[in-house]
Amino acid sequence: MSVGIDIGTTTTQVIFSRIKVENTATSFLIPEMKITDKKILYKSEIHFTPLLARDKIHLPELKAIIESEYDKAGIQKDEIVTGAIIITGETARKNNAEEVLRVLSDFAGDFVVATAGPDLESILAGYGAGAAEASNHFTARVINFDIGGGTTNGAIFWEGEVIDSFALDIGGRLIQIDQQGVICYISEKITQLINYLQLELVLGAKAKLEDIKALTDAFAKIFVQISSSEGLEEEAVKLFIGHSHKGLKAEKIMFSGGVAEFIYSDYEIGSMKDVTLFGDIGPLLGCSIRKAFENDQYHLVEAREKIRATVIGAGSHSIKISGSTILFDEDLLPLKNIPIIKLAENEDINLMFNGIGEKIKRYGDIPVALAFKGPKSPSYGQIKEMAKAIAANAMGSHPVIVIVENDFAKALGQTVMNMLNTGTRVICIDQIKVDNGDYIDIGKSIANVVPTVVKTLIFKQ
Amino acid sequence: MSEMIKDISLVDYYERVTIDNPRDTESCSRLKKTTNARICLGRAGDRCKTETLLKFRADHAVAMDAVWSEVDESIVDQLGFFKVQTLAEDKEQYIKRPDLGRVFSQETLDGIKGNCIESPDVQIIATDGLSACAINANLADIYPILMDGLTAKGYTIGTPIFVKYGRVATMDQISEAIQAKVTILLVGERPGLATDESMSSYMAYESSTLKPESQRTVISNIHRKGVPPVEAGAQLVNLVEVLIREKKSGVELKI
Repeated sequence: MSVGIDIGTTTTQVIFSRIKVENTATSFLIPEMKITDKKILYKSEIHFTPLLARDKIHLPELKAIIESEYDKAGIQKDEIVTGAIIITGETARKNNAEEVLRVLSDFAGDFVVATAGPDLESILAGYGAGAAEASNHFTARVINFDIGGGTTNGAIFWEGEVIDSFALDIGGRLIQIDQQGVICYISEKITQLINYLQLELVLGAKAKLEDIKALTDAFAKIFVQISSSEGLEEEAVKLFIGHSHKGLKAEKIMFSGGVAEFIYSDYEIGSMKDVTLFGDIGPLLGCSIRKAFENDQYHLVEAREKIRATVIGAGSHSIKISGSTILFDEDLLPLKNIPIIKLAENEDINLMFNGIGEKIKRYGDIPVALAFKGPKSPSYGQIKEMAKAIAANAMGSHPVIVIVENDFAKALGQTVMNMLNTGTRVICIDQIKVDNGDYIDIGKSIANVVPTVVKTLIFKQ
Repeated sequence: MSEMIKDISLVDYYERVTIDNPRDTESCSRLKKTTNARICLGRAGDRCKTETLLKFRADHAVAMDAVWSEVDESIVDQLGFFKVQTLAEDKEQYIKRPDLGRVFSQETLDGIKGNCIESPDVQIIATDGLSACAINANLADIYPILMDGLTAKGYTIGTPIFVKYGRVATMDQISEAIQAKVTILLVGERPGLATDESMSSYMAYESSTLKPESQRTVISNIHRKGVPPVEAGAQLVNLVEVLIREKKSGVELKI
């Protein structure tokens, strides 16, 4: 059983799903454990994220919402094997976001990963929306834009894998309007753009439909430009959070998030009255995007999940299963927030491990994981050399944790273990791809494989 | 596809698309990587292309050669294997008379008894089977990792034996001769059109000529494009533990 909790700028949602792991190999082969089925058992209502102030989440109220959803679903905390809580969009930048994650992950279940960060959110939303499958189905590059209240998360998939991810300060609630049509909130993230477009959108003043529409049209144009890899204007580039996109062209375009509900409908916004009904620019943004892609029906595909894409991504796509022949020490699991040191591939194994000791020391007295791809089918000599280098860098009381991409973890782990004295514990897993700066959580084993979650943390220790 | 191919056996046909002017080469390549089937080939009129035919015949030739190939004895010598031969006198007889490839002369069995460690926990055997190439390609990687793992677990290991012109059932006679608990036989698989380097590992608890074929537990498809030999070796160490603990093997053993 897996849980997904998404705490967004505007809404908070919970889902529960059952993930089935089965041996897909015949009995004459080494077992091959794979996720064979993901079934969503329960989708919560969509709640507004409770806030104490604009920059503070109302933790007790949020906890109550989540508790009540566990009750309604009839699911006990100890049934939850895995899952993820993700704080998304602008919420991740709130003052007490880190505390919220810490409290909730303890509360939600044993191996529930707490995470935040725009890139991971983009990836999870893309998986939840169905963009990864669509890239296989159409054999095309599929871009998914998950447009939330505060941010838009973009991810491009090819062959079921992410090839780029990014986030933008574009969202449905960056401007909020009261029932009289007066602007009661403008995010500072977009004031530069408003000035550049010379729009009369001022806090406390009545808004005109044409000005808001000019803004949402400008946003829509940015999506067109990103997906067709046209050059962006300078003001648009400033909306990227952290880093820009790689500029890859996508053949299919998909939208998820709350705003997407309006893209794939035929809802029309004709007057300010329609805008004030929702109190924000989300519906209008949806209409602008629909119009911008109107002549481009061949490229626009409907997302499988829209407003729930991120939570479904978090609940059922955040987990990766390791290879089936690995080495682990059940007593050590689960391990959480292990920083990863990725080694640059080199045919000369000594060169590959050169200076690793120094890098490990930089992390101080905490366990770290060494990760590399390694040869497709290493020789015994290569295994021996890798093991020697790893054993030489083993740190006293900490377990040796090694993550490789190709299928040789059991051979490597066994060899490392034989080289070390019996006190040192070894975890060596394969068929998991990680990058420098990532963190990994490794869960308790299920049928001789371990579930893992690879994540990037925005909260630095 | 106008570039010259000098040696057809060196081209990676898991990726190479030979359709003329395909609409989407990348997608074809991707499809090809998912299967061993010969797809995305293109055609010449209503027949296959010369390149396709040549590749097929090259692969077939590899399989034919593999069956008639001999194990490089310097490999088994280096690893310290004790060498024996079945009743098959040469390769041709071995191929034509499967029954002779399963048994030893009394003299050979006496030689095994006289020269090999008695009653070990684990006995390792390697034999050419239907592809000596598989032994040449994998033995030097799987054997040491297997030895390291078994030694670390504290098992006693028998003198490794290499059987020339041998089939799987030779493990039963050897096991009976030296009274091994677990016997592991590494054997070249019948080559198909995909690779000539695929090796299987058969293992049995108290392997015996009186027991049916179902006594054996097997890992197949051991080669550099399948299960890497080192990883198979590490997995075998685990299986040995299970067999010794459960005192059974093959279909009786539910893993």
